[in-house]
Amino acid sequence: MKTKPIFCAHCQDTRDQEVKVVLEKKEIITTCPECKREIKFPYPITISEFEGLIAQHKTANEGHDVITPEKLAAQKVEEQAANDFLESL
Amino acid sequence: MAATFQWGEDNGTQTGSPTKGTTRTLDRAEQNWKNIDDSTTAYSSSPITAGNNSYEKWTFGKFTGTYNQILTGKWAHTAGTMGTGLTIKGVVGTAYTTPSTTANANLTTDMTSAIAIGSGAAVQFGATGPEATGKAASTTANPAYTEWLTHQLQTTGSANPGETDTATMTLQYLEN
Repeated sequence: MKTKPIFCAHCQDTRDQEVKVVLEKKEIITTCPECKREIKFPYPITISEFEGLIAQHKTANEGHDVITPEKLAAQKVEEQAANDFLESL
Repeated sequence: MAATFQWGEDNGTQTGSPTKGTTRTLDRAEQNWKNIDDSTTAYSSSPITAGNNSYEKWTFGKFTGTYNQILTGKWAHTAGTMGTGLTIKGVVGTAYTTPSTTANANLTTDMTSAIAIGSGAAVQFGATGPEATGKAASTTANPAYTEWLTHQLQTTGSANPGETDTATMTLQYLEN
């Protein structure tokens, strides 16, 4: 299995992602070992072009405030608390 | 009074300069990813086979009504969970090209996970249409348009059969 450090937009971290080439689709598919999310890149490309796309991918996706299930649950608790407050007025 | 907002979508072969689609539809209530480049066919009639990609959706926002200025645009996927093997890629402001099912390397933003709109991609506004040059962070034009907001559903063989979850694509803006 070939791996390469690639930024994951979901994890917001760079991880050694599995890299596969799907010849019939002319695509490179990378898979994050943590969240299993996949990214497609065009194929064939040179290694330097691939490196460039990986760098571009990080720039475009770093800093996203991902809404995780934990954040969503906390948000719902806050909304419920606000509703309860209004109901009690 | 306030601005009136509507989603729009272009389809078809690129035409003109700056480029746009041959067909433009406004007042869109959905932006379904499909295996056909149009705004009319039901998604159930043109499903995407696992391993393939949807045609790109070339969408934009249009503002009419009463306002002085439209400004501070943000665009993001803000709700909905995409399953295994599904990736939403998108980009703001690239020139229109004829939609295809090729994994578009220009779609650099990974929009698969829902994010807070505050960390969404910045969107500019201007007159005439999404294809027009001269977009800026704010506009007084009326009608006004966003840049192209382009997205594509990319799938791998691990995608499950059936419908995806609904993804909410949010365009946030200020008006005054």
